[in-house]
Amino acid sequence: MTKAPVYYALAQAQFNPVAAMAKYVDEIQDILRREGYTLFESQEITQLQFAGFAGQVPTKPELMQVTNWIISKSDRTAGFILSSSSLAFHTTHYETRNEFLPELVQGLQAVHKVVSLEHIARLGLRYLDAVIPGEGETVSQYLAGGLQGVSFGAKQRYSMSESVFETETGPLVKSGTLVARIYCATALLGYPPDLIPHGLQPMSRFQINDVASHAVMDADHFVEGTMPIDFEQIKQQMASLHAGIKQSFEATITPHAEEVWR
Amino acid sequence: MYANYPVGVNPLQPLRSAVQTAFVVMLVGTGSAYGMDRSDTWLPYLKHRVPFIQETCAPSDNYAERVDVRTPLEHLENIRTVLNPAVSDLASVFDVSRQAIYKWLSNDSKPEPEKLYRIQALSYIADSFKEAGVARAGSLLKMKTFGGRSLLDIVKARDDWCAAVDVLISESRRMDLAYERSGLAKSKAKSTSDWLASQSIPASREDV
Repeated sequence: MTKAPVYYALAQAQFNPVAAMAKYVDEIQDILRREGYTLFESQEITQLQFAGFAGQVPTKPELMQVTNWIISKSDRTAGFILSSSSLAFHTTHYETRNEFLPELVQGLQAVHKVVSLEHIARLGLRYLDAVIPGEGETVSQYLAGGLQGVSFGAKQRYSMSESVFETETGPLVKSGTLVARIYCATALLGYPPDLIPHGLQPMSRFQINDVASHAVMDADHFVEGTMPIDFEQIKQQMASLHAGIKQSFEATITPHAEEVWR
Repeated sequence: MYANYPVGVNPLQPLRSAVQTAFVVMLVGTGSAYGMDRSDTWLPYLKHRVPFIQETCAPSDNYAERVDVRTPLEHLENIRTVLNPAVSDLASVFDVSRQAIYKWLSNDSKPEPEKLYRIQALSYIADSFKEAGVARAGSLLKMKTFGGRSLLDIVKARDDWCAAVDVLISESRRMDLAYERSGLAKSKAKSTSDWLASQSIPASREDV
């Protein structure tokens, strides 16, 4: 797709917590700097943490002090977010999966080289697609039936549909979870409440300063489990997650959308 | 969100696991981060979905709406400014050494997560005293007024401190009022320490 609607993509690996990560950050940054990620910022924020695992009673949300290290390209088109227990690669200038997916693995290799990771606990892939209708068009021309929400005359602030799927993935973890959300609103194009592209600049065609009727397709595909540090298999697992996202994307859009974005 | 469980069957177990799954999926996505510095962007969205447990009491009326984004160091500075406790007292309340307190204050190290509750509690108490205009807040901290326990003891035990703070604030106000009514503030008599003397007649020889 030459006019792909992806305006933000993020791939994340969570690994065994490394309490002393702050000691190793300089070394990791130096490896990534040589790969072209020359900007370095550290960010300390208070976060509301939701701890909830299947089979356990959800605990009360807790406030935690979290330090993130943001390592980005000088043009701020892509970068890494490193914490003591995760590494995310994110970009606002997505091209294809061929350029995108290997970067997380490359980053993980840098982290592993320095801190010797024991295992990966979670792998996830998340894509945000912007549905911005052209002049005289509506969002409904782009989205498959049943995804526009309820309408009964009252002024709608926004609508959101959320579908959760169990998927077949591999090779490291056989079963994944895919969460597909469609958010429709007449507002400025933004990001979901739990995401923010720290340190990155949006692509110019998505820098829209006018309020407009639009939709955001938010697809999150992830697997959880204890995965060995086998980079070849991690690559294949990421490719498998991407395949699921692609299927959900194709099921969400209309032929008209495909035509416009081709 | 609806949980699918058969009608007429005890729903507790299946319902709970469905709710837990939904809870995890809805809130902990890939790359999810709920930074308190931008809570205005995500709080309205989550309010519809999560039964937030609010604090049982509040340092101020608008506390529920006001999200506290202060760092542990800012909380500690707030405690020191308003309550002015001895470092040894802080060390005792937080169950750490005095050296640890000095390291926190100089930002050489950070409090462990399990210490944050007490630090925040003491900071909220400082907020309450400050808001109520209590002039000598520090002197109230160690008064063994609550069944032989002081406010510091209550915070150390992680018990509910709200009622104790309210009692101390109203007591402080009564003391201020009594002082004002006594006229001592307007008295032109020189202050004296004679009342400290152990003998009944001031200036008499002590060996008599």
